Amino acid sequence: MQIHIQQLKKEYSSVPVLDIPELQIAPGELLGIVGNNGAGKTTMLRLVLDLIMASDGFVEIGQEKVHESNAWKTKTGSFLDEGFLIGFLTPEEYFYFNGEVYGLSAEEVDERLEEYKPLMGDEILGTDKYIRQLSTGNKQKVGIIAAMLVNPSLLLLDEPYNFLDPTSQLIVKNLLHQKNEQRGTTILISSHNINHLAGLCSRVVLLEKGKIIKDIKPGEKDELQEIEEYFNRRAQLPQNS
Amino acid sequence: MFRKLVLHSWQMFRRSPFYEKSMFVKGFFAFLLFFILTQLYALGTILPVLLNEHFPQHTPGAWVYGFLFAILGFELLVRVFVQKTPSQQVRPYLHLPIPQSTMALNWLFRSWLHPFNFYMLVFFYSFVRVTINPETSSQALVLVGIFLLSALNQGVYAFTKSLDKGRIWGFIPAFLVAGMVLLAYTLFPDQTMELGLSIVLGFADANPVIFLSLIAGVVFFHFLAFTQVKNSFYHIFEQDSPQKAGMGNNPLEKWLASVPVYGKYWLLEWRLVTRNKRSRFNFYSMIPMSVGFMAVIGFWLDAQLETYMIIFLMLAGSYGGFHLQNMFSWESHFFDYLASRPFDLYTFIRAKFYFYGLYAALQWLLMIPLMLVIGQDVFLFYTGLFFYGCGVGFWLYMRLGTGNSTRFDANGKSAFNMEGISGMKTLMVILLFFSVIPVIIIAALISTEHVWTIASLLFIVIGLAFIFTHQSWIRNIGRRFENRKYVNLAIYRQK
Repeated sequence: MQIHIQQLKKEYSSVPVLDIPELQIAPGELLGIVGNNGAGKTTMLRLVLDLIMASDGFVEIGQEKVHESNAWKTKTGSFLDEGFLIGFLTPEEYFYFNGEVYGLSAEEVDERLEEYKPLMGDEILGTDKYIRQLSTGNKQKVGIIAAMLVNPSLLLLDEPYNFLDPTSQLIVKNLLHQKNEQRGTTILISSHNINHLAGLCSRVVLLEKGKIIKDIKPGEKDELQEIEEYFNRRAQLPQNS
Repeated sequence: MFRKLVLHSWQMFRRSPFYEKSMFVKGFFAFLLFFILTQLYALGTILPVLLNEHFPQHTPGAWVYGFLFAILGFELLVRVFVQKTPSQQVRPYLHLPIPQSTMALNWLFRSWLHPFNFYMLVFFYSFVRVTINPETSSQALVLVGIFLLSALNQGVYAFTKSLDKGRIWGFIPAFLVAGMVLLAYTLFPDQTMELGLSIVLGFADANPVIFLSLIAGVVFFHFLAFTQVKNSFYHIFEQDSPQKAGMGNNPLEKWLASVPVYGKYWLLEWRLVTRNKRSRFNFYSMIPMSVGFMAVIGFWLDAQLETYMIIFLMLAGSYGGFHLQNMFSWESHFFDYLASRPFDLYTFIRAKFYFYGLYAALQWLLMIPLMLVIGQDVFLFYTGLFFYGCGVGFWLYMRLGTGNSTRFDANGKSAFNMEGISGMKTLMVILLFFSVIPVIIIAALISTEHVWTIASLLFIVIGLAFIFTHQSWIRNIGRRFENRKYVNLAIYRQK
């Protein structure tokens, strides 16, 4: 799935929070979005998902402008935050419902869930708990799994490693790699932490105050080091005289 | 898919966190629901009798049906401000490949499940049975007509909310309708009342024009809402977006912070109550509401003081009475932070006591001129309850509040918010109301002629006794909280 962002702007009370003149994401690309707090990562993902209205410009998924059609949603899986979860359903019910929305039978959902059992451990399925009663980490897992379960052509995850234990972080990383390599899934993930994206993403964009200030394409591995240096420079403490 | 979403509505209701509450709270709310429904039903039966007795110039039906537009206009305004939109309920579905039209229908369907759409029927069910003759007219059709009028209000409400983007302009349709109703009753009172009555009589006579017009109106506004609401879905996620922070370091905050010992706690308290939705409205509105209520009682209602005993007691405790019922629950989201810092619990509780005491005193001072105009007995009575509320009331709320280990979101909406409701909280309020009875009995034993003067003086004495000994009982409250700290903090952490 190709994504095309053109003149995309978002303002709140006349204060610009995102301004991307142009961005092309090729099919099968695994794009990491890095930035400090308030850089505009979540806003960008929400605009791609048409969850907030752009002040200007547009996003196209495939050939469709996201705000003009809904067809792209059938090929898109996403999890940005807890608001994507239905708290009064059990995880099983949520997975079945999610599958049904994408045209999967309960059997297919069961079959696909097998793949995610290492991530779920024994704390999610069969616990007789509603999603709202799960720990934050387990809620995060439910959201990520629901997004991946439907084998989307485009997958969007916002800070997927948040709240996850080290093992789960590695499993998610491997799953993302696998989806991207084997199924050619186009993936957009955001993170504060460039170490989470290193060795996984084929391309990384650095957002700062709503603007893309670095766009590192495949093969430019030294550039990752440059991003690290960029953050190191920002993290310099003032010298005491 | 729509059926599946309807099923989710049922599951959401059936699996509501409310059912996880204690049997006491569930029983209390079941009773409350039963009480409200029976009151509405009884009102429909009793109102015709009262109207016949006090306003015999028209029949009860002519009065109530004549004021039908006023009832509906008022109901619409209340709806617009109080009825919650189900927007947060549709939020988890918006990223899924579900057609927008299905989501819009789901939004409308869920907004239909609100009690506002049905409660009027309970009143009119009994009122219609008394005022419409079943031998000449159809009572059932009148009820259907009333339901359609309520549905029309629901349509206007849904349309209004579908326009609402957090700005006052979104309320224009509802204000327009209410304004037109007010204007009609002011300029053409007789004709408007006659129109209201003839509409109800039209229902009773199965007038197809009236029914079809109403149905067309209901469909029209729902259609408008249906077409608009898709745009309002954007607003659901934009609510999370960065907004301008509160007031920052304004002069009042600077002054609060500069107060020795209690300053930092007062600043925290001030920011807590003014920067959270649940506390802010009551904090700002309590004083004007109290003054207004006192004026209504004093100038318009001809009743004995004791009739308003409970309301006076609530007003006298002022905002503190509301806030301290949930002592520590306000801080539940960050109590771990407080508990892990060099934070003096006793000073913190004292700071709260002074903060809300000063607020109540400000309210009392502002009410003095009004009370003196109304009558010295009102002044004495309210003053007694002011000291009683700030002494006994605050002590009771704070004492029992140490066991009040409910967690809630201070920034959650306050209307119909069940979060934080507990058996303990209900008990606190009931205890305070009942605690005045022995005082009144003692006053009656002393003198049957001056019961309320003596009771007022007793309230002052008892209240002052509690206020002067606050250092001692606050120490006790602090100790109680320390003993329960781990239990309470564990519950504050539960999400």
